[in-house]
Amino acid sequence: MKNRITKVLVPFILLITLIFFSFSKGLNEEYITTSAIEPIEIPEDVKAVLDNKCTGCHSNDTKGGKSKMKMNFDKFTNGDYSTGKTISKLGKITKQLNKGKMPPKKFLEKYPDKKLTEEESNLLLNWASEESTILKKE
Amino acid sequence: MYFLVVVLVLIQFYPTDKPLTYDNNPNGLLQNNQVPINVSSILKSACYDCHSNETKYPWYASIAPLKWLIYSDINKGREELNFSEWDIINKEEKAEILDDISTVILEEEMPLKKYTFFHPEAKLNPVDRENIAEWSDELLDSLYN
Repeated sequence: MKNRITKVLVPFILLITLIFFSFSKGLNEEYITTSAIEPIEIPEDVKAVLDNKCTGCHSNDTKGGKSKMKMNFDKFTNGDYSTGKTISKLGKITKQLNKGKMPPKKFLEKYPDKKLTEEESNLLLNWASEESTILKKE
Repeated sequence: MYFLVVVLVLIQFYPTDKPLTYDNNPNGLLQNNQVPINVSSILKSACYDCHSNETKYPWYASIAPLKWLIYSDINKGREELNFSEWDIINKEEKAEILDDISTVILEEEMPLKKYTFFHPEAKLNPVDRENIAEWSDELLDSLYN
């Protein structure tokens, strides 16, 4: 009798547990792919430049909607951007800086001290390309 | 008055290249990819006149001076994004385009007001805009998964 229980019941329970386990794991995985990614850690020196010259228009605290919608550095660091979105944003940083389009000319007429120095611009460019390479490999 | 009529007639002869249309687009987005019907129908009715090779010209698009504006907008639109050439766009560029799509749609920058003025059927409601943004964000994510 005891033998029969172990022969039938134990494998049966194991099977049920296994099914439940794989089912819940499947759900979890699905959840992970559709939700936000691991937040990106921005190096201190890069963050200092961003805070000083970019986040005035490109963060959660900004009043205007458009610049924040196009690029929001808070979403970078709290993981609101998906991997694809982050890679796209990093590509846009590179393009905008290479064309010398950011900060915008009109804005710089008012706040000339917000102009990026060549050093700062290169720092951001290197960071964007390194971060993007890492993300594409993952 | 006569002068105006003469000018209007004369400018019709000024040569202008009409952006060509093609029915057969083997690299097109809708030809090769599964796009949900609620999205593809919006793309066709609200975007494809300027962002594909499948432009449907209204009768007034052949009349100067209107045609100059229309042709130039179509050329600019195709240059920015041509859905008929979707499959030959590289991955990085696709990612940035999809990112832009959700931005310009949610910010109501697109479709252009001057376009929806003549094409009321291209006006998008908030649900349409959400659907497009959601689709483009999901497609963007799928590029890197």
